[in-house]
Amino acid sequence: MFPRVIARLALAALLLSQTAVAASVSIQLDNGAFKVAGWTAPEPEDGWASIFTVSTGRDLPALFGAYSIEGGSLTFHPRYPLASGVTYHAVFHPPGSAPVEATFHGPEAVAAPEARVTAMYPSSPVLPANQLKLYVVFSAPMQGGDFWPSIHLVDQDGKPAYLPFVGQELWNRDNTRLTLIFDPGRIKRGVKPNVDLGPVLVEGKRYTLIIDREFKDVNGRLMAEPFRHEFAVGADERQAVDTALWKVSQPKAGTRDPLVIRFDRPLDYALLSDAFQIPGVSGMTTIGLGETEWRFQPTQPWRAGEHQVVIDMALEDLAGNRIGRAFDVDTMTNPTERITRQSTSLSFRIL
Amino acid sequence: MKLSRLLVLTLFVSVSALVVAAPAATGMTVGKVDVKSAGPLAFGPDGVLFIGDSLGAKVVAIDTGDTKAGAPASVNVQGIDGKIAAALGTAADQISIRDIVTNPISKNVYISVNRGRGGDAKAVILKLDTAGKLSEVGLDNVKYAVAELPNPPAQNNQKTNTITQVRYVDGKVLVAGLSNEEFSSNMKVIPFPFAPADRGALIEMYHGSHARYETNSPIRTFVPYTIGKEQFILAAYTCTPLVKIPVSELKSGAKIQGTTIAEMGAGNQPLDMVAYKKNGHEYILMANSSHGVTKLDMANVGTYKPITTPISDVAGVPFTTISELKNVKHLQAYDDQQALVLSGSSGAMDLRTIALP
Repeated sequence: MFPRVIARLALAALLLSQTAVAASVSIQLDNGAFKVAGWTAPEPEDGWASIFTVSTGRDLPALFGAYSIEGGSLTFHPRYPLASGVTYHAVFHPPGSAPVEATFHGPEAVAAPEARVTAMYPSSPVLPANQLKLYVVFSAPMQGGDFWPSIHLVDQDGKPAYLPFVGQELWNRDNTRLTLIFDPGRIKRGVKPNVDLGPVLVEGKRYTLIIDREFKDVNGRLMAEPFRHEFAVGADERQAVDTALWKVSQPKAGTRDPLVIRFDRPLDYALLSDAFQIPGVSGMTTIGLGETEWRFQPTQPWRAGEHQVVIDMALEDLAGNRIGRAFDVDTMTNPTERITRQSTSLSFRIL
Repeated sequence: MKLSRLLVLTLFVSVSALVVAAPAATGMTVGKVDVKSAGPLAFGPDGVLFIGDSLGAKVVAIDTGDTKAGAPASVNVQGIDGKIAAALGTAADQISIRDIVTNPISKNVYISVNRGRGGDAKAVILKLDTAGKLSEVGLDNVKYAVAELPNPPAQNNQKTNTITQVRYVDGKVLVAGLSNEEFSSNMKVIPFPFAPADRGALIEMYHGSHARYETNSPIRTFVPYTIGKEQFILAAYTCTPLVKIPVSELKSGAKIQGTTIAEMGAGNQPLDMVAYKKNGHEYILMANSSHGVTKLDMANVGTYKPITTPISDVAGVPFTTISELKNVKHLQAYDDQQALVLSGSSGAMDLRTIALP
């Protein structure tokens, strides 16, 4: 009888002391770090993580991070900054005391305008049936990953194209421009996908590229509106690019008239932006409507004499044909020349 | 006197360090290595892990020191992306798992992850040990070497090369990738240990369609494969044919046309391949973007005639589809009996070993 009373008294004292610990201890979020205030003790044998953890859910692993004692308080610094929209559960469970818990929220998302598609290239209203790439330009950085269900290519009857693009995400550095490559197996003559299904784009038909609002920006928000871009499809372009077919304007010496190179066909928008250089002459370049011309406005007036435009051999037309080499060379009629030069040039004379 | 003792001590420590360093770690330095984006992974000799860094336009080799032989094990982590996101303090839709690889010595699994979904995402390398514990592989104080890739894109913020596969074969690191602007990407071959300022060799890859049409074609994925005594890679072009290429031909400036051994069908891109033997037969297990997982029978692959005529049906190496494996994102070797599979969709991805079929 007597020992039982003692045991009850001991239990009551323990519960009282636990309550006292719980009441005096609190967990605070201070400048991205979680702090246990009102408690000090040496590090337990199993480490601080055995008594103090922060997680994003009950059954999920604790956050990676480092423990330290700062200003007398046990402090947990998460390895990575807290994320907006995420809830953090901090649990402090000192030996022999009731656990102390606290919930915190990640920082508010930074307000920014909703993203939208600002352009699609090629901008030409008619694309060749063996069009190789499309560029979709967004107003803000977008979320990589599982966006493919938000991209559709439908024909004039509303019928969706069957797996038209290579399922490899290809972004520029800040995720504001997405490159879509048409399945090259459907473009290349004679390979199984081309033989079985034919090309994705059929000459004479019209198509619409649709980007759903559900294509999220980096913060996980929907776009302001869906995007639709309609284009017609013309004949295949199977010829190599030939610079002899380009027309070069004749600016006059002493003027800042633009040098304009008009192509015989539209060229790849992205490659055009740094494919041309005029050694010794600085200026501003612009790409003309439909990617059919390149304009160069010199900073200083033109000097009379011979000049050169150096052209990067990586330049492609809409169907992946390069200077002197078609996308898929017919080696029966056109023995393969594998170009090894990095650049070629066009001369022009300023009078 | 004190100074000479110190020198002797320093010399001793240096020599000791040289003695204990793994041969593969030759030429590595210790410190913080900058990885801008975590991409494809591959293991080399002596626990060296290769990390493809697309935004950094380089391949990073780190000495993991993880060289203790592991006991046979298996992996089964449900909701691996949710668990990784939690450990990184974010939501599952704010991370992307870029690749998985098994350390062939320890059987620990390494995972490359980008925390964040935009261009400013942080590269993270994780280790899942055979006991199921997840930890971060520190990159702030690590033994490492870097190979810058040839012709890094100009810093104009627009042009990038996405590394799609990295493998270590016969003392070389092979790197495949796709440009976001140029279609005709090259394969890069870099001898390892990396020599200073060695940017490796560029190999132009061509695809010949039925002995007639030839295209400079990027290779998206490949796997080392030995036929007889010769080392090959089996490579998949983006336009789907599977080709074999002798590694001996992968020399600087080479222009290579692979020999087509299988055509895998339209609207589909091979993602990963694992070569294995079962009951004395050789097979390739291939994960595809839309055709599920296929098993290729590689018996007699050395004697198959190349596919040189247009075909409207499956041809070349015979293959079957493993219907029970669905939505597989990554497939890697694990051991002689098992493969490592990452499957599912964002927020519900599973990492597990499967018995090789």
